[in-house]
Amino acid sequence: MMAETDHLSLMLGPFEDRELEPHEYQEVAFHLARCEQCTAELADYTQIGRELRTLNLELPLEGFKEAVMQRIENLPVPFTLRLRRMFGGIGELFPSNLGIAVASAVAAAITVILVTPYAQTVTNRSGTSHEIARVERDLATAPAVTTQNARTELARDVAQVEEEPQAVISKLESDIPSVAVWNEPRMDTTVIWLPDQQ
Amino acid sequence: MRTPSRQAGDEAELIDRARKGDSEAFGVLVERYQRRVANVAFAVVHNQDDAIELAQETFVRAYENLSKFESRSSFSTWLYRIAANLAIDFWRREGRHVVLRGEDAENELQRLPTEKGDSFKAASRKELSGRLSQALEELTPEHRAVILLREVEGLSYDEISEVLQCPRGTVMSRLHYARNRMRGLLKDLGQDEGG
Repeated sequence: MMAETDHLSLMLGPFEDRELEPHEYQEVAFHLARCEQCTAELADYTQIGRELRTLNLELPLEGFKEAVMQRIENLPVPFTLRLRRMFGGIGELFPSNLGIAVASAVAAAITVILVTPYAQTVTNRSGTSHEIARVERDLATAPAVTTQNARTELARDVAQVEEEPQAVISKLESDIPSVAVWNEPRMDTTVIWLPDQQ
Repeated sequence: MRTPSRQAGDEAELIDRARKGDSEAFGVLVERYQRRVANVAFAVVHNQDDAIELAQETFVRAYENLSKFESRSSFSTWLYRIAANLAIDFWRREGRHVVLRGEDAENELQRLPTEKGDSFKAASRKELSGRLSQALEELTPEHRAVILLREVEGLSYDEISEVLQCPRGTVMSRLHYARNRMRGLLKDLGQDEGG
């Protein structure tokens, strides 16, 4: 009986908590019917549980939510969330996943144009070509004026450029004799020299 | 009337919105679980201020890690687990036993009942409450957490096992120990009265 009591004592808590298998439940119930010690123990468990539930464990939670939300507000926004918000905003403008596709394409295009060195080179070249075209157009419509001063100035500038070891003059002529055009690889620039207009 | 399945669906939607950065949706979840999370923390540290601070930290951690939450366990169990982990870590780190709340315990102990009784049932409710608080104080945080999660929060053994991340058998043995320990401490009250 003593050994049985010890064994079943371990099951009293789960019995009280309804955490036993049906056959165990039955076993404990039979035992309780004839063991005062276990019945008293179970009654104490029951009362401990009841008293614990009546203990004043109500914590003062006024302003709790606001304090939590303030702390969350101060958290750094994760990069993934920033991206999600951005794409989510675009996505609202378009049906389905089209927004994400469009946003991705725009982001990729911006990256190619602004970030890659290749794109920067292309941008510079196209700008230079555009400038040359403009100058050539202007020259075509302007009267061909050649002055001695202009020639002197040209010769001085060319000599100055030649003194710089890394300045490579690749072209020092044009269809118009008073205009000099050359490339300056060190500065990644095309120089166009024009005489003063009179 | 809100059914459990409807609340679960509503909860899933709130979690989804919160994951996308909708703090208002997360606020609803905070309101819904703040008391129980605070109680879980209190079950371990047994100090109001620390429990509230830990409960706040629990929600902040939960918000930061919402992407890691999987629906295998319920959201509440996940929250309780964070709270229990934080509280147990805190308790171990601080290594302190907090003072019993209010003037209660000391005063109550000064005024032990004089009438005879063979069980702690004989003690008045106020005295019993004081002794219960003291008895809880004497338990380790693990044992205190188990008995409060079971008796006050009404968690099943499996849920306690998940929250405290220990086997179900450990939950059962801790609960058995905690109950017997409390019973012994409260029995003293009845025997003191008698002696």
